[in-house]
Amino acid sequence: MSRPLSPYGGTVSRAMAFVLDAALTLLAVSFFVACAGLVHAVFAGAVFGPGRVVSADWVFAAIPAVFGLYCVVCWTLAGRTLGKAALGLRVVDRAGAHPSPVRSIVRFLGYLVSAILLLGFAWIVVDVRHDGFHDKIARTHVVYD
Amino acid sequence: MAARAAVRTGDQGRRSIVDHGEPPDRQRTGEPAGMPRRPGLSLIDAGLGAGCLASRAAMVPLRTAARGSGRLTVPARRALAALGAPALMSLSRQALRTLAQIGALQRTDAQLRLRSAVRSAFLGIAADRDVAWLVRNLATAQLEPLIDDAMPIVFEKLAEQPEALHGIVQSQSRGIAAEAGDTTRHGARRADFAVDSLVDRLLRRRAASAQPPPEAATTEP
Repeated sequence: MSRPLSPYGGTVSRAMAFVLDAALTLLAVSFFVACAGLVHAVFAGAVFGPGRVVSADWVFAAIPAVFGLYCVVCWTLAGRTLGKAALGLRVVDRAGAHPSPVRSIVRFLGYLVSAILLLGFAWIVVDVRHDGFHDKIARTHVVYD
Repeated sequence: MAARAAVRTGDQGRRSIVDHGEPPDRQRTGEPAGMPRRPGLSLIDAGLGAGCLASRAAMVPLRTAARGSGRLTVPARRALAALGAPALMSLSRQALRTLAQIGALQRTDAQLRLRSAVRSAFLGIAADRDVAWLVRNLATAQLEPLIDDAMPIVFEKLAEQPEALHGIVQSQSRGIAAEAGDTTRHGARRADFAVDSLVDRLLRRRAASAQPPPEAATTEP
């Protein structure tokens, strides 16, 4: 490495952190659904399907909500999710502090914008500070710890 | 040559040094005959040869006198002793000094050879498969009963102090997890750097590392 590393979190680290967070969320939702299904199976019957305790549509809809709640809470309280902590990354506002709850919510909603054709995420690669659209919208950065 | 001839007629034990052309230790070790000889051996040749020659030269008048008169007179004995004794004493001392030097050299040589032989023997023993097998089996046979006896005591002690065991297990787990995390982080940062370099080259722009970090990000603990 002939030059110093940028202080802003790089593409690969952020992608790995995102995948890790998504996997954790899926695991948590699956665990919750499995527990709920077990309880319902013990007391009533099957888990999925019409008239059953949990509809698959609701499960798929719950995943983004759980993911959003997880991200907002983690960014606000610690400035990082578990995935970002594992990869040594941190979300900060322009002043370098933890994002406020509102800023965290805006940042998560910015994910939806970035998800359009994945352009917002692709922008992380070419941006000089590795800011995606959601970072631009919420005025945040992702930096190395 | 005179000294060598004198030695040939003298002591048989000394002949073994001179007449074989090579010293006994060189013959034993199989060193090539054309190699230059040690200076100590030529000195002992000279010293012993000169000593024997002088003693024979001193004995000639004594025998002649004994043949002529049948018995030496006391003044003749004294005269002969006065003439021959100092030379003989001097030659004997020189020969003894030479012998002492040769002895010291050979002692040092023998010590070095002994050390080398002992080292080679130890290395050979250590590398020998049969010895390794024997040591392993002996150690196993000796240690297994000890371990069997000690294990219940160890388990009892650990049961009395479960916190210590928990601490050991937790520290080991944390160490493994931290090591795995560090490895992942370093790999990801290397990949980040590679991607950044590639993008900077493609876009022909200033390096992203030249960008200043957010204000408080570097000051926060």
